Amino acid sequence: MRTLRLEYPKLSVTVSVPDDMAASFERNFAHALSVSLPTTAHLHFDVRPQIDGVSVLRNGLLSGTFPNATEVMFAIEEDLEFALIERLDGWIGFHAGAVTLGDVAIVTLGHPDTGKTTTTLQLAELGLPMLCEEVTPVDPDTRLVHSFPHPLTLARGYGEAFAARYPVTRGDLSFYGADMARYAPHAVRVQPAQLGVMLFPAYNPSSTPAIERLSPADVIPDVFGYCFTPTRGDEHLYDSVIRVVEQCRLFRLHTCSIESARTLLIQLIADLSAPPM
Amino acid sequence: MPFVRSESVKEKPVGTELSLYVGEHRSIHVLNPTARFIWESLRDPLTFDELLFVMGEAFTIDAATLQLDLRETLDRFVALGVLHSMPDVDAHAEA
Repeated sequence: MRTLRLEYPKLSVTVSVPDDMAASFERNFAHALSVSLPTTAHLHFDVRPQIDGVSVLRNGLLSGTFPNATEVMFAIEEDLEFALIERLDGWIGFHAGAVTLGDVAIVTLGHPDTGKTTTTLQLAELGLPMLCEEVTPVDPDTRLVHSFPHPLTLARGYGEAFAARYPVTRGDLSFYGADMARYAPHAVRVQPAQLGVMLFPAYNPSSTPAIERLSPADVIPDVFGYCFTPTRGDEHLYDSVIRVVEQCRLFRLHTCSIESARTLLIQLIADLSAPPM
Repeated sequence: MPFVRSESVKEKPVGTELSLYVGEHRSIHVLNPTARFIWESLRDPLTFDELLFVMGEAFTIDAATLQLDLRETLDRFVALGVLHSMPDVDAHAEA
């Protein structure tokens, strides 16, 4: 057995895995792997092969049996997301992806199927290091976005369509079953980065591609809806969301295709990289 | 029948605009100028006719449009849990 130590903001985890599964776990959780001296872990997963699959014990209690090691990794990832959300305390947990441009964090928010994950994939393929996937933890006092860099999970159809148009060079795109694709970016930022930009993708096949500048008042109700339920109460979250959003540049990306999204994101990166007038 | 602000509602400015947080519904709303005027007028409970009079003093809009705007805004506020009318308050008090 091998014991892997994973470090996330506010969350230390150990995972014991059989030797023959260790390499795939190390690849999947590469950017959270820690070599630091063990301290007390908040969560411990024990992965055990069985005759009929692979079982997982979570802090000593059976949490499930899965058909293979891949399904186990996905289940542990999901468990870690919930565990992080439970430990956020006064931080905001956005249901969002994040990348960095220089020292600035760009967070992509939206309802399911609006292009949140695909935008994060496109930004990563345009060379921006990934910071977070699915859960984006933000300290509202410092506006620092802390790293939570799991691989992206997206629709297989999108992954295939993207790879048919553009060479995938900055990460590994793999496919699972009939519906799922996973993208593991090569470049990940593990240090926190200050939140400066929020993107709101809006995919509509009949829309005209455009970048729309938004005001805090345009987005605050929606942004509040993209937050995970806070442990410190909604009023604290209300105050925190307003403080954070008011300090960001806010953009809605109206896209109608993979190509239009890429074109807009290239334009946006150039605009954000330009020195202020 | 006076309209009253719901106790669970908190307000905070967003830039130059005003937002309301409705605790009961876990929702945030940013107010347009008419809605903001009505919300701010309701520091003390007012009836529909009293609000109509106050708005008539502040806005140069024809009476029919004003009445329609006020009715729509109040209905929406009540649906969102921002306000309720006084009988609801009495019912809550009795409960």
